[in-house]
Amino acid sequence: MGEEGVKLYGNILSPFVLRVEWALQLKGIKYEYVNEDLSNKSPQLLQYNPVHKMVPVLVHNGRPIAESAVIVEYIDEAWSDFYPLLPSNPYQKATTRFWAKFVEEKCLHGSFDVLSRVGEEQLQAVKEMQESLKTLEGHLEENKFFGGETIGFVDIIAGWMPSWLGMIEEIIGIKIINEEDLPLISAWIKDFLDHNLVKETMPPQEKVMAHMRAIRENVLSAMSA
Amino acid sequence: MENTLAGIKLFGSWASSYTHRVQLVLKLKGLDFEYVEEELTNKSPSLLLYNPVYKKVPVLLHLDRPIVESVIILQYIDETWTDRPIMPADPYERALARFWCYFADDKLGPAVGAVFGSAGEDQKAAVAQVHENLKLVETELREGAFKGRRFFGGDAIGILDIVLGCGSYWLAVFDEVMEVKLVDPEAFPLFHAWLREFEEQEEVKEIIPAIDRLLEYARGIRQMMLGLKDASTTPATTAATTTTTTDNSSVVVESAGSV
Repeated sequence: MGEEGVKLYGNILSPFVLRVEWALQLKGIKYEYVNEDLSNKSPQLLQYNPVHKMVPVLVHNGRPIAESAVIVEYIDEAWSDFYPLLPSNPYQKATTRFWAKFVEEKCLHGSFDVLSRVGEEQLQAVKEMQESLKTLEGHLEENKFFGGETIGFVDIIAGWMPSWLGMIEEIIGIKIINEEDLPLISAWIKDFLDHNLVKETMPPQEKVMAHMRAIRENVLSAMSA
Repeated sequence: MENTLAGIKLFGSWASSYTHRVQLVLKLKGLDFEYVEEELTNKSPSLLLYNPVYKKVPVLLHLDRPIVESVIILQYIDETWTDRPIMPADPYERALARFWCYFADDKLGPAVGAVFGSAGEDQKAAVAQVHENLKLVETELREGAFKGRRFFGGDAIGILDIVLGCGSYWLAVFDEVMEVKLVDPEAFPLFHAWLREFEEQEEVKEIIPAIDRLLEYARGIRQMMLGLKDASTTPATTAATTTTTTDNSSVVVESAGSV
């Protein structure tokens, strides 16, 4: 069945789905996109991902894979003869996986803290986010992207940050990324947003912003309840 | 004594399941290495140098280059010394192995840690969460991806056996220290059977610390955590991830969290 057997269950609001789309498109893989209504998940999705019940799920020749980082590594290994997403050298691969995990644990959770807190706690969350980004910046070194001259695994995993952090800044009215403090991250953000693939796959900002505002409202009202 | 052929050094802690994972794979592959025991309340300058971001064990040093985070270390070792592989060859099987390794560390582990760090009603809820997670693994063993297998890796121990198995000995310890039943053989017969098979492996028996040492250690940490809980207003369910615990308790919670 080959490439025709590739299906992606997703939703435009999900930055995790975007990761998989970037990986598929960088590799030139044709796929069918199945939109999921996250308030009314399909039986197929629940069957394919009973553990987390979330998008993205990639189904390749009838076999499902869940969790975006797992899916992206799978794509790299199943279609290994074009556009490598991870380095082949084991030490560089380990380093790549480390920074991807760092982005997930520190930056992703950190950004949720920033979005869902108020007052002093929020300022503290912003400070911690900036420290995490400073640490991450060290891995960029002199390169345009984390993957070097081209987008790689860490860029894909971190690729929600350029637009999502910008939206969070607008919602909370606090600047997280200052160019003087984070010059390399700022340059990476510009280069990433300027990439054709990113421009073509950018989700509608108003919809995503509305969704994130709703998340913030829900968390805040739960806290004061 | 440093083995100059393989050039491997491992910084670890005797009670850390994450450290045991690495020791086990090195043993399975027949690799010699120098071991450095870290006192987690007094971390060595080397540890802080090689793992500045997280400052945790285990840290693998190979040819003077550090690799951290146990699941990343396991894959590095497998990719560098390719005899006696612990990852499957097929990309789909590899994806499944990774998926369940992350489940073990992101869901099951913290759930077990929450049991250890709580009491009363909070603990009942934490135990229920562990059972929810174990049910998912049991389902895969019974009718899903791992149906009919002796080990998650097939006929021989693989990466998922190592990740789930190292730390599962804490379950017996917790059962004793806190009088909870985490792995009920009636509710989770296949998981229970797999665990017994895993613990019977020679290499595994050589890695797991003596049960009385683990019991003594766990009792001490539990007392300290309950003391902290009375003193603080932090909800018990966050005990697994709070940074206010000392390094010792975070080791046990970390160890518990590696199941």
